[in-house]
Amino acid sequence: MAVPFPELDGDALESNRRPESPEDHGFNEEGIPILPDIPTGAHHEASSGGLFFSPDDTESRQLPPSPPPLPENTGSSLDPPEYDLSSEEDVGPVVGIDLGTTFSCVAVWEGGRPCVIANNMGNRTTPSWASFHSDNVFVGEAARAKASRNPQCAVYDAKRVIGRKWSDTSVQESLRLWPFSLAEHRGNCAFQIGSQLYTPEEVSAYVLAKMKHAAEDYLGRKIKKAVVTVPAYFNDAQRQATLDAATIADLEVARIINEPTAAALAYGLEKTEGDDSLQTLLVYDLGGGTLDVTILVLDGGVFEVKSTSGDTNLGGQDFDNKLVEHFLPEVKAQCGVDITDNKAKAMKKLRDACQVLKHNLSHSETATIEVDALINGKDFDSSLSREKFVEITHSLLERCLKPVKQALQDARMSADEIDEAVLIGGSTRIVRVQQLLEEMFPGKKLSKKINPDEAVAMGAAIQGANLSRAYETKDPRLVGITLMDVTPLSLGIELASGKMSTIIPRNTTIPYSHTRVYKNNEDYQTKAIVEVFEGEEKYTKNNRLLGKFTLPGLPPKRRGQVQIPISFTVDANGVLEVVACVSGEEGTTKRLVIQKDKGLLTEDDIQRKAKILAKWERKCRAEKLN
Amino acid sequence: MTKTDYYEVLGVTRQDSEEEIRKAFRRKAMEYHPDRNKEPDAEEKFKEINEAYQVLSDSSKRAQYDRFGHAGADGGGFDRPFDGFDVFGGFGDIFDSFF
Repeated sequence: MAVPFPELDGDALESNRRPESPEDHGFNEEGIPILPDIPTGAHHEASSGGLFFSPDDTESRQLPPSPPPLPENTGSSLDPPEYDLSSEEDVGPVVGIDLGTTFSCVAVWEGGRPCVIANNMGNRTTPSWASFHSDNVFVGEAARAKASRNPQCAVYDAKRVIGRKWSDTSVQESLRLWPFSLAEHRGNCAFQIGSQLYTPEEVSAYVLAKMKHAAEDYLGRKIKKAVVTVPAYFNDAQRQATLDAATIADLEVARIINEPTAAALAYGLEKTEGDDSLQTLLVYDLGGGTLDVTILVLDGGVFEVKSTSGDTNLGGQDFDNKLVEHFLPEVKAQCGVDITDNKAKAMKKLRDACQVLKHNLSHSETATIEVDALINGKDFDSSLSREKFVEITHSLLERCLKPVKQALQDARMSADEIDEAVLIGGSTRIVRVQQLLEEMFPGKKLSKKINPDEAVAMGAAIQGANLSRAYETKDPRLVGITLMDVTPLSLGIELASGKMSTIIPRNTTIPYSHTRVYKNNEDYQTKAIVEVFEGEEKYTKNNRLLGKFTLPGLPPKRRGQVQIPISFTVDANGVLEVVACVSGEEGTTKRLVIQKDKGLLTEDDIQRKAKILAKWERKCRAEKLN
Repeated sequence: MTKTDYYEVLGVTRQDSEEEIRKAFRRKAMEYHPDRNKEPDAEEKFKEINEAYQVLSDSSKRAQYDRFGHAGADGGGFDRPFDGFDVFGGFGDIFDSFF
């Protein structure tokens, strides 16, 4: 068998770990850590903390346990003591949290099934809202209640801006319709309340903390770990930012899992019992802010995701926006005032009424909208038919099937190979959306067997239980359940031509690793710049830069004469590691390690915000607030 | 270092159907998925199984592999004239592996 390249040593840091101290490794003049030269073929030793990695030697390698995603997460799911049930008293169960755009939900594995936990108001889902006041922060129902009086203080939709750039068109387009203010903060988005800026990570952290409280109250013990869900189509920055939010909320993330996959777990758990037949499911998850489509095969207890696609900017909120926009001219005609003009309270009232109207259209042919004293004491009322609703939201409905077609194509399947379409997310209650899916899958039943608002949290709780127990001591219903997810976006590097060279294509089952060999572009080039991108566009300038590093020490040779193997590894958490090596003179190998671009927050930011939040938690507990 | 034959990795034969390959993969995946198997080398083993499956479950990649072996699959062979490419990336990549 040909040896593709001499044994090369690579050592990869977990990409989402914070930078290590400079003492750990040397740094070159550009501040890029360089690991010491290692003679080719030398026996590998696992470096502490890093995942030992050599691209072409898969058999003889000793793997140390994977380091936790964040330094605070000591005792990751792979930490052996955790599997000891006796220590569970201290760790507590791993809860599942669905951190939604508009609503969040928490569940825990209890008594052999996932149980949704109601919050202190008795509700099984909690509005993903936070309201910031000089003396306190309110979250959930309390925050939404505050919004009628102080609409500028109450924020929501953090998930729509988390991990996004300020310049992102979807952010800019939504700005006008939000009753709160958003500002640019280091190129990213932050909520502006008075003179204070709150990052989306912080807002999400308050929501996560609230969900944690609910679970702690219910279980009567401290909760430290959670499986948190994200839309399947979330990119790396959005995932990283979600992890940061959890850290601020003092939650260790046992695993980030994709929402449709979580829903499929909840669905499949009921299904698999006594049914070992192979089933292909399409999970259609249209929530408050995102659409995800995932095709997966259920085979016994194995959940193998075949493909995933989506639209991170399509959800119930967009339908609300269309309704608001539709009624604005009517409001102006009836009340004589343009309420987009800094009339946040009126906008909030109109938006709430539009939501009610939308909900009513899910069970009635026509629905009315009535707002008492919308502006200057004037009432507003109107009505809308389903037909008109479809017309108004036409551009959104058109986007509803695109990811379905893409997912089918990527899975190399046709619509009739899908056994069941499972509907998740509150917006799948929209009648026209259901009709579109029925047309897409003629003769197939759309499954609404599981609660669309709770399925994701339930699935997360299943995975939480799955990860927290030793295989031998697992609940019999969990034994055999294995989740195999995929990479949602293609990962690759930039070539000299500016083109994207994909190393891991989208929808590749993870964990996975692959190496490709590249060559020097110029004669006697001494270093190579490796830029890592995610996305599907041919040219990298249209994809998203994840990070870059310089590989020094290329032997002086003519163009195309230097071999540079580049290895990409994605672990079960979807975290990417990139290792590039170059065979130097005298048979040495230079190892170089990079980390991906960080989220918007620095380690200091996270620590500081975590302290503020911890103080808030104590205050809430002591004064029985929130 | 020699790389184990993909068919061997999955415990199937060259004559086996796609369906049999899929079944073999799931069986092996159940055994080695890092969520289930806490042995230190399980994740690496899983990656190896997964790599074999990614190639053998795709008819065109499987055909390439059947003809060229790992050199066809990895594009890393030093004995090849254009060793800077991965045949699965398409032939356009031959001249496009410079950076």
